[in-house]
Amino acid sequence: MSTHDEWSDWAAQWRTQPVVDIERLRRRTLAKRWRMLAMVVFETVTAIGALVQTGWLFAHPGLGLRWKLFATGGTVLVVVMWSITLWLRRGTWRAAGSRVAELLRLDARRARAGIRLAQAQLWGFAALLVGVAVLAWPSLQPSAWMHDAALRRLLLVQIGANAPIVLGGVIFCLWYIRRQRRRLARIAQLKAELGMV
Amino acid sequence: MGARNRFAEVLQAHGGLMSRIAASYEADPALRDDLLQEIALALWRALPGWRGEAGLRTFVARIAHNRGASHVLGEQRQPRPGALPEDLPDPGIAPEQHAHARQEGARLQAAVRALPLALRQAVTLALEGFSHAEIADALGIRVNAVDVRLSRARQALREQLGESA
Repeated sequence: MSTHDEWSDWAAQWRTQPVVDIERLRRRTLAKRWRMLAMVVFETVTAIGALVQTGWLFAHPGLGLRWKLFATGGTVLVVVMWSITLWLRRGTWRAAGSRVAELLRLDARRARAGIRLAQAQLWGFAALLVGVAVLAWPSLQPSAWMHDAALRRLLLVQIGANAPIVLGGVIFCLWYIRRQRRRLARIAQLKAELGMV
Repeated sequence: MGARNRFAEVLQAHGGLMSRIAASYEADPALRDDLLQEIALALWRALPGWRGEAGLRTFVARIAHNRGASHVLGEQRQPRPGALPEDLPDPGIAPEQHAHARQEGARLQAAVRALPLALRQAVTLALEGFSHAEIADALGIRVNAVDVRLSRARQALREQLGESA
């Protein structure tokens, strides 16, 4: 069989693939687009609402320092959550019409940035633990809590509440770093397959 | 023409191409359906930016392959045992003929999916009837690179289809 015939044969077989329901695909795509749009609007309105509320609390003259600190914490939390949302959604902004090589380079840059971020987070956890240990050192001495039931309870509550959060954060960061490293390996493999190396 | 109408027209004209490219990246029917939706969504976003510098078919193929390559970065899954395709059969073919054609088509699909990415991308476009220049344009490579890839792919497909025959 000639090369041309072989390709023609394969092309004919290739086109016997099942017909796709285009109308269903169109409906689902538009519905997904609306859902994504609605999510962005909801997040924006929520973030603006939270900022207005915390701003009002901060500016209110009748409120004490405790509430003002609460307002500051709230504002920081909103900004952090908003940043995380943007970070997680960054993959959806890529230019779909770009070349595969550019997309792979972008993916690799993001994976490396993700690893750096997670490593910084691990150092942050370590710094937090050291800082807390230094501050609480006098209270952590057995002589301090052995005969003080209230202090003992407080330490137990603090350790019980915060240890799972810190441990969970550390596990997440390690898992994330591993995942991004696997992604980088896969990108390198794809680049090799595409002759980009 | 409204963006919705334009999108519907492009989908109508090139939906089959998009679906077959998605099938070259994902064997699992449910995940393939998700990938096809991702491709359609990317097309919706990119369509206003199309200025006719490349043919529309080439533009659509490029978007589909880019999404496909991103999909490959995740874990590749094998189809679940017993998973039935949700696609519709081609009404123009008799059942026995359809079954045979379907079987042959499935073998070819599996063989194409087993190719390295660079060969797979070139092959899917060649099977869709793209010229070598169009393939080069869609993939951002030179025409002689297309020739090399297609030649290697042909050899690999021959071996694979010959082995499983």
